[in-house]
Amino acid sequence: MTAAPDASLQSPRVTGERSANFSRVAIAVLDVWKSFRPGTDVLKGVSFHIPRGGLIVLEGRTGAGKSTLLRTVMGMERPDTGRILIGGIEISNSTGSTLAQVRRSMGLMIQGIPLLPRLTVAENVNLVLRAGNVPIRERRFRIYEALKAVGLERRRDAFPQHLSGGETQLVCLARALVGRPAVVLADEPTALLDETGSAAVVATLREAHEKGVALLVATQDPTLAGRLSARRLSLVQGRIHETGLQVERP
Amino acid sequence: MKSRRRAATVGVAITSAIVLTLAGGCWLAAWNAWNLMRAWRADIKVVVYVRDDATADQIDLLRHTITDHHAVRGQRFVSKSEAQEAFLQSMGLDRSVLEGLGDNPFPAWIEVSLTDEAQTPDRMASLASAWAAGPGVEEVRYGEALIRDLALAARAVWVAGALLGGALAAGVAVVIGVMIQMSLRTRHDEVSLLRLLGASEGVVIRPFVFEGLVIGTVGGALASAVLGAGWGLAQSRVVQFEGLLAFWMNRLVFPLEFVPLLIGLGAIVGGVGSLAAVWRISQPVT
Repeated sequence: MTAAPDASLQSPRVTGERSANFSRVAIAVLDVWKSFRPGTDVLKGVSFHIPRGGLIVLEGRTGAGKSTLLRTVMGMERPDTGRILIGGIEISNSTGSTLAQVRRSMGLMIQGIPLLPRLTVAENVNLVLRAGNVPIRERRFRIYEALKAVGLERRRDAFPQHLSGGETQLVCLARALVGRPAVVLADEPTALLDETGSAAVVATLREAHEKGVALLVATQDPTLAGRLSARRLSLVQGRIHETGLQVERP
Repeated sequence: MKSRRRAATVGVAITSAIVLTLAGGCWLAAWNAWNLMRAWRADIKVVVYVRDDATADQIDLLRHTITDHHAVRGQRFVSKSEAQEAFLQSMGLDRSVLEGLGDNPFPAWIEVSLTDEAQTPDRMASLASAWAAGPGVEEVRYGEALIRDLALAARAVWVAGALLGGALAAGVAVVIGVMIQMSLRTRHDEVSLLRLLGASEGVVIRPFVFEGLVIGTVGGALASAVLGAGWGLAQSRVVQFEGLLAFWMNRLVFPLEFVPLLIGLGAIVGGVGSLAAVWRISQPVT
């Protein structure tokens, strides 16, 4: 079953810079098609939306197009056709300050945004605060708060090459949340993690969700949707199939 | 990596200081040379020679005309007898040399000193021709050739100092710009990541421009300190000079305004150099 977009999302195309409004719909993806080579569509008419504070887990095998979809949603890739609105602002054709403004409202934990090896954990997390032009006096506390949420406050001065794979994932999650975003995009957030680390990520994502952050989580892990009590979408060969709300029973 | 970057920054700040010291030295030399020439030129007076048959009324009218002119700072009338006395005194001669010469052969004159603004070859020529047409005037002299040569020399010193100093300052901007470009290359991943995270161009380029400003300011401050110390040392040695050299050395100055000017110049060339460097990488978010 294809997730049908809300009729209210068929708003006029937005151009120029304006403030994102997350009061109703956080993310709207409308009939998005994307191919990197002619004749091989990676995304085939993908449509779904996430309401304010909503949570969707996007499942799919390797090569299903999950990462492409996330990169398209954050504006790193442009759809061939279709529209993507973040907080009511269309980003599929935005550049410059409008796109920058929308990105500042997102927390990104996706492939292609690695930790920089010559910066410490705290400095890596601080990049988001620098990008958001957060006052310097606030930054130390915000970094501590974000690292504490993932249990890595004592590793603030470590360099990424001295972190385990799991710790790296957690720092990426802290970096995604430190800017207090309205929307978080997370690509395989529990990959490389052991059970404890995975549980920490799930707990942190749930906590963010409870605070009203809209989450779009892409994963190959079939248990993650249940652990997050999330609405689940499957991406199969570039097409979306809704598989319902997954609630994990204790 | 960080220590290497810090060492490069310190190296560029020191290089900037050395080049700014040279630039500052050029400007200081030009400023002093110009000042000396100005002082020298201020000593030059316009001399209006009065005809022997000029009446007292004509001389009075002439003196009033000259005194009332806004370009005149002061004037002094030297009578024929005073002129003769002055000649004898300056030559160290006895009155006996005048025997057989008949009447006093020396003309009376009016010695006119001009304001600074009027001490240009054109203004002086114009004043001289105006006064030459006055009643009872024999001729007007003001050392035309010397005035012209001094004006030319002063302009040449200014132009040479400004060009050389400007070229050196531009060199500082280039050095700082290259350093900032190297820094940008080293931190290319950080810049790309900041853009991905939604940083505005201002946020992306600000630290690099700030870095250039700081390096330039530190370079300017160091250059001022070196020039000031060098000046102090030279002044303490002045007592060892004698005669004309000591006279000229005592007239040289190190204006205090020079310190903030050099620091400000360092900041400006640092800012310009770093802005030019970041301008290339500045691009809209896509």
